Amino acid sequence: MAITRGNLPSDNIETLKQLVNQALEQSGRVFSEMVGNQITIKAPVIEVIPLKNVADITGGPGTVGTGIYEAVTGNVGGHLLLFFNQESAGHLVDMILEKPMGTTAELDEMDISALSELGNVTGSFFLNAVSDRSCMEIYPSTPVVVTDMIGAILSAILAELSTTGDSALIIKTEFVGSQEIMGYFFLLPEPYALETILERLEA
Amino acid sequence: MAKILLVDDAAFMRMRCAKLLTDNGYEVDEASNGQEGVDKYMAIKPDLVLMDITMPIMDGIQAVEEIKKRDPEAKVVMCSALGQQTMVMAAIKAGAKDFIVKPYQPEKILDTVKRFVG
Repeated sequence: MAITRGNLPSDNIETLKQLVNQALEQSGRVFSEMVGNQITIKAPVIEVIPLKNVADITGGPGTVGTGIYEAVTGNVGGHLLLFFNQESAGHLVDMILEKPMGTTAELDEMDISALSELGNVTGSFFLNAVSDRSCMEIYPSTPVVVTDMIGAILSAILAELSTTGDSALIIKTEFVGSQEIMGYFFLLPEPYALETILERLEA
Repeated sequence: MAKILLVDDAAFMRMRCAKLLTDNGYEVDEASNGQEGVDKYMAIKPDLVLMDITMPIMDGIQAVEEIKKRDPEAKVVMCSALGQQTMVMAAIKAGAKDFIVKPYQPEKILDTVKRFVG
């Protein structure tokens, strides 16, 4: 697993890496039980990068796809975004709802609801793990599913953050079931929130 | 056969919960918002209601109040997300019997349902 520390001073990225993997493994198990078919969630790459570089990770601001967004509130604030390019989002829906691969081109109510619940499970387990380990109260909001260019999705979220020069946590995420589908799980924290989390993990 | 009413605006969650409960021998009816939940409650008088909190048209707390006004013996279990403790407390005050924290886990749903309706 590749980890880039960026300019964060903390020595505790390793703990965060373990938390992320445990949380995704747990959320994969729970989501599999929920949907009735086996879906494993893995995090092969975790990186800490400057907020301004977030869109480039997915292929650039013009990449069209589906984002599952949750606001983060509590002792630290921020934003969670699970993003899939258009084809991957369709394949993921096909996998979750056991449709023939390639069936889903545009998302209907049931597809959006399924993705929303996937966001809810992964977001909740991730924040629960961080919350338990750091002794902070951190909650996700109800997920919102939106299809647009990643640049457009991020612009609303990052408008308030981009001037701070802060960092984002990027988790390249694989959903493995009948297919392997790559997505991106972003934690976009308010200023100093990531540092606060890492410090609390160390304590 | 015990009758369960699922009230949730999330179509996917209704589908999965309905499948879980019917596979385990329960009769299930569904509503996609609080108002529809109240109306369906009066129409079918279920043994238990699983009620989401955040929904359009009428939220889960108001729906519990309306159901309890019409049937003080109604058994309603709230389904809450993390961070909704205040709303859960309001729902318990309004007459809800218990709550399940989302994300839904099949075992927890079945345990809770069994506790109230066997």
